[in-house]
Amino acid sequence: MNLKIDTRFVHLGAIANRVLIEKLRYPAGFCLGILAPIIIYLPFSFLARFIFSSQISPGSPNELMLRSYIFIGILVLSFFGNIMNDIGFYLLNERMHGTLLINYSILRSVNTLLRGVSIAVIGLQLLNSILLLLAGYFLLGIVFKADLLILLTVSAISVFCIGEMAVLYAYIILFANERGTIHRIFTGTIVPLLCGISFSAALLPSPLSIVSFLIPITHIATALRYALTGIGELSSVLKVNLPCLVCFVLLLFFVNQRFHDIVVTRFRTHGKWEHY
Amino acid sequence: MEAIEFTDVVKTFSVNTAKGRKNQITALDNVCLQVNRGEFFTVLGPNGAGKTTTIKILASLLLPDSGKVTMCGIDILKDPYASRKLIGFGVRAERSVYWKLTGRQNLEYFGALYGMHGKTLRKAIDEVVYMVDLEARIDDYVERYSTGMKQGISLAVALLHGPEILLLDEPTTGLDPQIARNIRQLVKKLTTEKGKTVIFTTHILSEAQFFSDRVAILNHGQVVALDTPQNLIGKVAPGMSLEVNLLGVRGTVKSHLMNIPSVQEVLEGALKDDRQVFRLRCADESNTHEVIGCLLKHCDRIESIKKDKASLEDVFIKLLNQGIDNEGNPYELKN
Repeated sequence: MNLKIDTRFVHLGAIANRVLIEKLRYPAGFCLGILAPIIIYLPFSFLARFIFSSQISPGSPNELMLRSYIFIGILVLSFFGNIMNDIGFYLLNERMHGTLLINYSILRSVNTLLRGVSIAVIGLQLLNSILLLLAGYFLLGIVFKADLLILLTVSAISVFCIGEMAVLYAYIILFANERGTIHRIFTGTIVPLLCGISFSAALLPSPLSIVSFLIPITHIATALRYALTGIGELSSVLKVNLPCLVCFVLLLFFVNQRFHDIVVTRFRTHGKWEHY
Repeated sequence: MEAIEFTDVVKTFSVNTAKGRKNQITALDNVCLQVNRGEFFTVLGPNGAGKTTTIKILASLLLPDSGKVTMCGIDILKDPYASRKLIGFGVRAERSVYWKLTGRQNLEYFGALYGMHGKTLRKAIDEVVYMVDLEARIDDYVERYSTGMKQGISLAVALLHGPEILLLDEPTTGLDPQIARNIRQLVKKLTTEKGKTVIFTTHILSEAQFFSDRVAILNHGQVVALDTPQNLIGKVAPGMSLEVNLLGVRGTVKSHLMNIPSVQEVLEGALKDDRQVFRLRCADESNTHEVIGCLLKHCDRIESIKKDKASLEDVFIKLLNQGIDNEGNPYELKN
């Protein structure tokens, strides 16, 4: 049987493979990167649990909720932050090193390059998340009540959504020529405060709750919390969070395509494939 | 059919100045070029002449403002992706491959992007690695390569998928003469033995003279000359050059030499121990005896005389000094 595979899929595989080879070249750095969220965030979560356990009776619903917020906060923030960082700056680095030019002289589009990178980066972050889940279970005593179907659906849509957000961020960085300010604002302030990471988004004052609703991370955190720990409402996840996430994915996909066209036209018009 | 047709191509860039103003720079001004299949075609020019812009337009990395560019009959502005399959694109070594990967990993990556895999890819890698003489170091990290080896791997990437057309942007810049010569010889061999078409940009005039089938000289975005190196020399800088080493020069030899009818230009330089060197450009050989007589009269001894025909360098300098004619048209060669 002669199977003809679309060259774009071959390209995605080749790019992802190259990024993995590059990352695995330094095993110590790679392992540290994988363990970083546990090393960085878990001490904070232990501290938070210790402080609040004096006010909340152990084993009560409130205590379970507190644990789940701490854990989902770590998971989403590290997953989102690392992906945004790795994919967001990728295009800028390729452009600086001159390899963007060579890649585009072969590929159909810059989006293919970014999505190939996304596969590798997200794959590694999923591995990272599995380690975090184990750490959550053994160290924080999180009880997982995962509905596998919901968990897989939520994870798949979340991965696509964060991947597309990171691709959009990569284009914004190119346009704004900025070196991390947006990333710091987003992962340092907007996501922890507005996205229901550390506390429920329902507690936000009304204007901010609207803003919160318009950020995909809010829906990812809510849906993941339900899918992993069972805290929340299934109907709300199915009727609000998942449809919103699908809409965000589609919207981001089209926006990214538009950004891609603008960037490529701009580069092909002004010759800005390289930037030292 | 021509491998490449470049018709009335205009390309301008808008450049922001430090004061916030925008300047328009014309990189290519109505450039017309035809490159035949199997030809080693060199684009020469000073910095900023439009050489890299030409190559990047051919690689569909830049859009011209106007004009038409076809590659083996494919309009690259309408179907850039189809034209990309025909080309191998090589830029300067330090900016074309991943330094954190080995040479082989780079070739495997780019081979996969070209849609190659399995035995075909392995065979192609072995072939190009042999061609660029990197067999001993192919499994070493590129960051540990010398500049010449990096250029070799960059060339190997461009050759990997067996493209019909090779676009090489200053591939020998910054290399030592031996490696530069090896690369030129390899590229020349590809045209003579495998029938590849090569577009090669360079500042190094000697390499253009000895390896190119035809040469286009660009200046300020215009083609100021286009012919074989021999024809260009014959038309633009006929005659010869003399390099004379003299001992004990007396008086102003230069002004005496300039009075001889066929002498067009005299350059002088001091050497050690009362020695001087004179470079003369003569329109023809008719007054050589007068030149020698004049030199003998004004020095103690002639230590050496070297006679040369004009080179492409002479053509280049003459054309660039002459520039574009009053109507703004490219320089027209007179037979």
